[in-house]
Amino acid sequence: MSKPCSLAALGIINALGADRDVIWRRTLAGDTSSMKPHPDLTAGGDWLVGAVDDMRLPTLPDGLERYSCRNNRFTMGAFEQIETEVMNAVRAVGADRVGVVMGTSTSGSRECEAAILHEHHHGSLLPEFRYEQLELGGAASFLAELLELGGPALSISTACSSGARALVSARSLLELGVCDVVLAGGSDSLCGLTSHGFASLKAVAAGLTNPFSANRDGLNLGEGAALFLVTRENAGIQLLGVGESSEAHHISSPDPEGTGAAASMREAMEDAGAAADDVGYLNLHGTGTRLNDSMESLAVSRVLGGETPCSSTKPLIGHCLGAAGAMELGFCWMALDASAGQQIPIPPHRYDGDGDTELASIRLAGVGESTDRAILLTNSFGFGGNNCTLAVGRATS
Amino acid sequence: MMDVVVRRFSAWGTSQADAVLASHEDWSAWAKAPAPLGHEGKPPVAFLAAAVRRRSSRLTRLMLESAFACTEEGERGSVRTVFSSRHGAIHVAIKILASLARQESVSPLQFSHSVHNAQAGLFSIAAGNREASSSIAAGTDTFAHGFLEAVLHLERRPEQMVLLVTGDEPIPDNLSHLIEEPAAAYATGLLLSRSGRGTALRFSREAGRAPRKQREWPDAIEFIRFLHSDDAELSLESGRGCWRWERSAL
Repeated sequence: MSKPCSLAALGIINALGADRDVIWRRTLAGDTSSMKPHPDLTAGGDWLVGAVDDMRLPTLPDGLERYSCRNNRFTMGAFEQIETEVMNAVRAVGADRVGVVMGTSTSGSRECEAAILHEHHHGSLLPEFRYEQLELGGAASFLAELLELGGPALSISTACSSGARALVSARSLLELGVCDVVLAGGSDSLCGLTSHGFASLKAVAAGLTNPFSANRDGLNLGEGAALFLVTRENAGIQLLGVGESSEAHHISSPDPEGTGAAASMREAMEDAGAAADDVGYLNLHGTGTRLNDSMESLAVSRVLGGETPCSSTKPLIGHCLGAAGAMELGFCWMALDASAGQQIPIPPHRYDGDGDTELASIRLAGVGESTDRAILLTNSFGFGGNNCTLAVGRATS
Repeated sequence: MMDVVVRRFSAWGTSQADAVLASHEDWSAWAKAPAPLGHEGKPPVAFLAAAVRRRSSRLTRLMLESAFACTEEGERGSVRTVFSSRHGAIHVAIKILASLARQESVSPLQFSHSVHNAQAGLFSIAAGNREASSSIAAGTDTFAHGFLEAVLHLERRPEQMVLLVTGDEPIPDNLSHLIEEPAAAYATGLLLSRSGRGTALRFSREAGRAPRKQREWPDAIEFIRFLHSDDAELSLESGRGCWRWERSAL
């Protein structure tokens, strides 16, 4: 068994809101009304996306303007929600013992897009554009500079598993004694590159994403950030297990048999000391593409059987790419946080209800369900064939 | 503080006179009179199928050449991997953004190769490797953070070796005025384990505010110079901390 790894606090911002209570209430209601077209954020695209309300975004403090991008404003927004807990933890161990691991796939691609568009029309980049806005490492060093932290600060970018993998590295930093506290999570923002990129792969749904339906036709993109305060306390909500694998299959599509997905799920459960019967809920990767859902249902039914309640929360907030793994761990965290006695409320699976009989049988959770099984899982699978599964639950001792 | 053994290492780059630096002997000679590296050059990646090779970017060629050079056939499928790059697929991303500015469509192939872990994914496919893999970036301090990430993998799975591949190329011309760095087209490979034959090192990091020293070649290449030297230790300051590798007798 691993040493204790506490997810002591969660800051979260996405299409559902910039307040944890609002987000959780709308999650349990299965509210998909935030999914709307946003041509301004998708280089003219008319697809439904889960955009964060601009009015809710903080601006970065003076002196950190070079990091200014939508991505880092999400991170700042998530941080502000847990500022008290974070600052107490930083003071307790000293800033030099605090590290940062952020998952991102876009960082400031949106701001670079504006700079390149300016160059196209006027012959030079936007004068205020800075490389720190764009570079992936900026997602982590921004937070380290904001809080004047002395520990390591790195960004993990493994496409759609980035946010989950950041938590894996955070736990190891604590286990190895490199840090006493780690801030870890994911942040990603809507932009032309990912919107038109996924459209070019014919992976974007015509309307609302419809995961595990016979009629599913692709994903909706989303954005936001989820940030965890990670400590060694043996209390509260714990990261109990991690699983990782590579596909060795194809650069942009998974092994149809779900072998890599099943391997990462099994490893996370073994790490958490959990059997299939201990798992009360799985937050699916559930992108709504033909291939993801078919291979993921195979992996889930093979590892968990067909009775464990599952849902994809992507119809509520979209696929947040580099932030998705941390965001969806956030849904599991909020479920555990909201548990009353033995009962843990479960985020519902929203789709048109027309289950695909070609898929391996898994149980999609309805509105109002709860579980009394103590371990929750979340799956994240990325381009390049990078898989990660996380297991969470409450501390038992 | 962590004990690590460098089991094998490799590097690929060019001199400023465009001479290829690839073999152990090339780098051993370079390390005796180190000089800034060139911006050009494309490794052969002879082990890749011709169709894959044609579609490979220069960064892919650099990183895969170094990855294959420091691993043997039997190891390649079973190592965990860390791919670290400050800029990653920036050339592909800027090409896509230029297409968007011209209101042209985005190529699906370009998009799939624009992710930061494209090289890790292509290595996994070429080597048949299904093990854990992370791709990281940490600005000017990318190499040392990549080394740390590799050590974290060793912590989780002490019995497994970790392949750390670091590489970059000069960023596109229209952005190059935005940063100061010893631009070079290069990649290095380090095969790491907890024990075994090789160069035993004690790796540590101390927080501190000593400013980063501007070097004439990338950190990963400085590490290769250290491995070829008789120096007892190597320190790299980052502005927020100092990384140290000391030769040790395990």
